[in-house]
Amino acid sequence: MHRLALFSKTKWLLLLGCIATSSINAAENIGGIFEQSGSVGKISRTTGETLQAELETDIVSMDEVETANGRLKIKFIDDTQVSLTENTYMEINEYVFDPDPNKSKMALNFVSGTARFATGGLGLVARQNIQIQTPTASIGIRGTDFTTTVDELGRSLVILLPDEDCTDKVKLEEGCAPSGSITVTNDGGTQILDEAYQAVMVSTFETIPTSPVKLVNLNLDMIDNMFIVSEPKEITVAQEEQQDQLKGDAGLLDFDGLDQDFLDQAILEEDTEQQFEFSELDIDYLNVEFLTDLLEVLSDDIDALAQEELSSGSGDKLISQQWGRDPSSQFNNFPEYDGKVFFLREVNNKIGIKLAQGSMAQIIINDSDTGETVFCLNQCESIYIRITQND
Amino acid sequence: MKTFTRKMIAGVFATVCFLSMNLASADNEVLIEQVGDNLTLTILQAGYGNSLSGDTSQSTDLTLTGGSLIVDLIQDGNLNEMFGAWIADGDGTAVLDFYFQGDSNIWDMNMGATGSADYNDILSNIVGSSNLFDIDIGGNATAESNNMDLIILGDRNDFSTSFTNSKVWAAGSGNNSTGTQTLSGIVIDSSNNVWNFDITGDDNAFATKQASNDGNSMTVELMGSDGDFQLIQNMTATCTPACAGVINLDIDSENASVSVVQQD
Repeated sequence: MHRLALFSKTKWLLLLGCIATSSINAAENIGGIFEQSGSVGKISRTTGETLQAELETDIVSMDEVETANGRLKIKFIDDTQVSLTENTYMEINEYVFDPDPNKSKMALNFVSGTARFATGGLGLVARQNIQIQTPTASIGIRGTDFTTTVDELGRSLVILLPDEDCTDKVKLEEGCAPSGSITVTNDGGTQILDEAYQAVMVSTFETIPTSPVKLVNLNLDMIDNMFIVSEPKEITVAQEEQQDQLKGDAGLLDFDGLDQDFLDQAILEEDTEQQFEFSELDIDYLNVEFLTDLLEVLSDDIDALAQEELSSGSGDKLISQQWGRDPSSQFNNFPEYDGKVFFLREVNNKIGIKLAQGSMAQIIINDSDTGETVFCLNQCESIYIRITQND
Repeated sequence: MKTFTRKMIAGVFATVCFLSMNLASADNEVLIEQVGDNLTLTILQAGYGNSLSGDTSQSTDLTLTGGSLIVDLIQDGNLNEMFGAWIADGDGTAVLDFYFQGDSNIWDMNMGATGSADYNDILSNIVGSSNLFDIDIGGNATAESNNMDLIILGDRNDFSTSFTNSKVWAAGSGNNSTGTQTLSGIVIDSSNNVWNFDITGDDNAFATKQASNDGNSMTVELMGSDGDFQLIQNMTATCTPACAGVINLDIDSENASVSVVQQD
């Protein structure tokens, strides 16, 4: 990981000095990349210019920042930091800095991927003037530190992080104070996160975010494990290959895996070696990669919670299908619409099916593009609906 | 129930009205062959075993041809029949209201069989059980932009079997003279038709097909157990953008079997 110490001190002092007497507008430098690792992403400007998202690259308002197979951390001039993991896309919709915090504004749009947002402790931008958007929710800032993960469907996972002191292992084990509170709002309603490691999932902009859940399994061991999970992919691949070969028939392959030291091979001797280097100081236990892995671990539980909440009104259960939009069937499934369970599939043709709540039904959808999908309401019996819908 | 106040007005060719207040009477027969516009026709057949057709042998279609027709037809009793397919052709706005109250009636209607039958408003209200229906719309000529509402309250009504006008049941084949239809029941082979039906009762069998061009929609409410329903919406024409159909299905049932085919 490349960390720019000089950039984060001298240049920041110069920047802050410049803004002490005048506000900063669009097209002026509002911050820069001060950490970067892995392959370089890109920055798209409204001028049509595309820049490499390299270390020390300046950021201006309206920039669109996209990472590739790498990460970066941006520090804004108000000391707010945004960390982006691999394959993350963020738009800086507005950034206005004024000596008066109430006149400063920040509007970010986390379009996809995982990002960690930490407000500047200096309070140089009034929190009510900070607007964070995901495809399915708006996040109101009352805390200082949280993450968002947006998947390819636009679903957003928001986790409130503890106070930064919790990076201290002892305090982490003793329990941590939240960094404040945040609100997660969309057309469906608002949820407030006010405990460290509380999380909500937002499926669509119309459905209310799930009730906050405390990620109780989050502990130091898990963090350590997560860090192990996030080791360089190439090393993991090498280890897996080594293990596979050890399990294989050494006689047939005339190969003794124990004689091989894959970690001693050219993997770490190539150009990529530098990016894999790290020291203890470089390990951020709350880094965004950990949260990406955490999402993978917890997404099933959170999805289950979301599904449970969606169906709580009617008590109807879907089998082999989820409420909301289900990619497998391309149905939009509503547990309660006009007092009934409602299924809507709209490709070119449109079919809507309302079933009385409490009904038992099996629905088979056959599409020439997506194949056959079978799902059920409550039980797979009683009403049998077979749909062939082709374009 | 709608109050019928319209008086029968003789049309261009002929209008016949039989009115029997004796519910025990039977075998009244109304023969209709009508050509011309601006017909207002009201028929009330009460009793059982009555029929509407085109000739006394009950083998010829009842014919209604013309535009701007206003037709109210009420058959009140059991074992009534409309023999032969209706040929209800007319190029212009028509309002056709059909009321069937009773059991074991037969209704065979063919709109747009030999001439276009567009922009019609058709309401069919059926209260009874074990009725048989075969409705074909747009078989040879166009029957576009019709608005059809069907309300059925009763058990064991069958819209899934077709029959010819010689009263021979022809299960599995539609009454489309083009020979291209394979679905029995209510076949709508034209575009821009709005097709709404509510079926309340048990053991009803229902099949309908909307075919041809763009703009067809179907709204279906099914209530009752053990129904067997087949809904087809098949857009065969080339549209830009692609032809689109809409089906809205509302089911409150047990042991129902519903097949929906929606293609373009």
